[in-house]
Amino acid sequence: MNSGNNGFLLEGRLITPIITKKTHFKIHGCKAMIQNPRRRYYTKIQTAKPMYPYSFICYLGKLTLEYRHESLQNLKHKLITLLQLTHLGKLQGEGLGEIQWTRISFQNKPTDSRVKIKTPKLRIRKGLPLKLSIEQQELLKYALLHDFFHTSKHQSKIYQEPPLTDQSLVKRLQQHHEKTNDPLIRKFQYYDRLAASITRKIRSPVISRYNWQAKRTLQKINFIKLAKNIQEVTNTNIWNLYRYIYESKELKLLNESMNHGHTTLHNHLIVIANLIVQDFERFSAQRKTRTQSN
Amino acid sequence: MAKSVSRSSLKSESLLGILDDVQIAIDSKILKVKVFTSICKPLNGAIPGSNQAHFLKLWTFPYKYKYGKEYKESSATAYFIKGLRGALRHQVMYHCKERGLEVCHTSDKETDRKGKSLLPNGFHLIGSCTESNECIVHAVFGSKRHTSKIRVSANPIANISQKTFQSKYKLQNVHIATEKRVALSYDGGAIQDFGERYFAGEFEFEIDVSKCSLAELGLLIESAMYMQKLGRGYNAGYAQLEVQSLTLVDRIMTRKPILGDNQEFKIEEQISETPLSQEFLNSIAEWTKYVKKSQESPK
Repeated sequence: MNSGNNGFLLEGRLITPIITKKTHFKIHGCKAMIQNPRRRYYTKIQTAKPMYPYSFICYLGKLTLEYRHESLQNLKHKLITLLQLTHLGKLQGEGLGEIQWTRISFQNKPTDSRVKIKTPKLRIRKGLPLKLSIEQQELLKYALLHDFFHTSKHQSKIYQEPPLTDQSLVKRLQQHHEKTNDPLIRKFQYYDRLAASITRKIRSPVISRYNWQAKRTLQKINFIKLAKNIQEVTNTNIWNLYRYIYESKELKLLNESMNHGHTTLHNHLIVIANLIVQDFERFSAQRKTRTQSN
Repeated sequence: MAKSVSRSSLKSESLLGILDDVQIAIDSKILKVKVFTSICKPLNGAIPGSNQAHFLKLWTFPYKYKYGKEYKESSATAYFIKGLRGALRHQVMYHCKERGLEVCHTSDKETDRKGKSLLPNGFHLIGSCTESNECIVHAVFGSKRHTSKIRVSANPIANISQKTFQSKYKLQNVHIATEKRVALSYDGGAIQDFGERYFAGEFEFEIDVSKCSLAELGLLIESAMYMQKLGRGYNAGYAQLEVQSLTLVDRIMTRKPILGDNQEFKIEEQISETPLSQEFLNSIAEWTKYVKKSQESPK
């Protein structure tokens, strides 16, 4: 791709507009940019279909292509392939994207030594890792069940509380929005906010708990049955509970919150669980390196 | 070295050797169609804030013209001719139907929501013939996820009144004006009126047929001969075409970088054309054979 000290800059003039949404894009692995862009809208009508005409965004202007590589032979091959092009972009058959190449100028500059900072990506797992301590299992269990219980802020998001036998856990779950000194609840609240900051970027209020996807398919959920199923699964172990939530189609049809309707309840629960697991793995890796160095 | 050479270009001396033997020749077969229209409206849509429907505007450009012994400067705007490929496709469709061939229609649905039929007799749905026996229209024009073989284009049009104009751009000089129309009137005064741009005169468009077989070329030639309409308002008397001439040409376009001032390379284009009159006749003969064969053994 674009790396190395040697490179060339190819310039051309767009005779007919090229269909792109942005003025910066890529052609054959080269950085392309439209200078002095003039926006046009290309409308299209299909006479056979009874539908409204739709339009494409397209641009006119001066097009520049930048390519960098260390070997001169590679530069030559790339230049030959680019000079053979006569049209670019979509709808070439209708005569759009016609280009006339005008100029080449060579560049011999050192590449930037700056390295882009890579932000860690959240990897969503199909199942939980096999080795988990009792504390970790407790936290994950708390995180996966927290939205199914009534609190001072909101009702259960599936309207029904799963009938758990462990009453101390139920009390703790009902307090997950309150200020307490309980270390488990405090730890959970950190992850809950972190997951919300990832998923809740746009505010989109909704009227019903059902998702737009559920409305389209006219599906309805049996909430009493769902609560019973969750209770049965929690009695077995944490791995089964995660697997059940991961595979459940019903939780995908519910909104996560009434103010942020674009995320699902399924997504919210799984993001929290994966954030917790990611942190476990990181700390365990750090500990290993420390012990080896000592 | 000369004094005008900059420091950056001195560094790139080793790179200049790349372009010694670079010369590209693009070979293509092109069918040129010369057409005349009395009034034609291939419009793009209304600009917000105006009542007029416009062509797709490309760019304004300066040009020179001779006024007595002196040269004067002026400017004009260039426009894009839309809908040429669609008009050709419809002509090809109905031409095949007249010959008794079942080919692809443009619609992908048989009926609309109310039960009104969208597919006329003698056609099948677009892209439905790909698995069994591909029809000739699908082979040429393609469909969704199937690229077409041809490319239809025309040089931009402009309205320049001076006959002695000179410009570096390739243009087609036609008459462009607006037609004012009244949709509602009350007591002789217009309540709701709007304008539509139109052009009139001779123009030429090109079909790139370098990927087509002989039979497909014959189909395109024969249907381009009978091309009738382009743009809106055909039933009201607009958009009628008169085909004047058809020529098949082998075009070779060469591109070569040439060293200019300040160590910069300018790309020079040269076009040479040779007529292919024998292939023109052969393709029509091949197309008639194809029609006879398909009529004897229908798919």
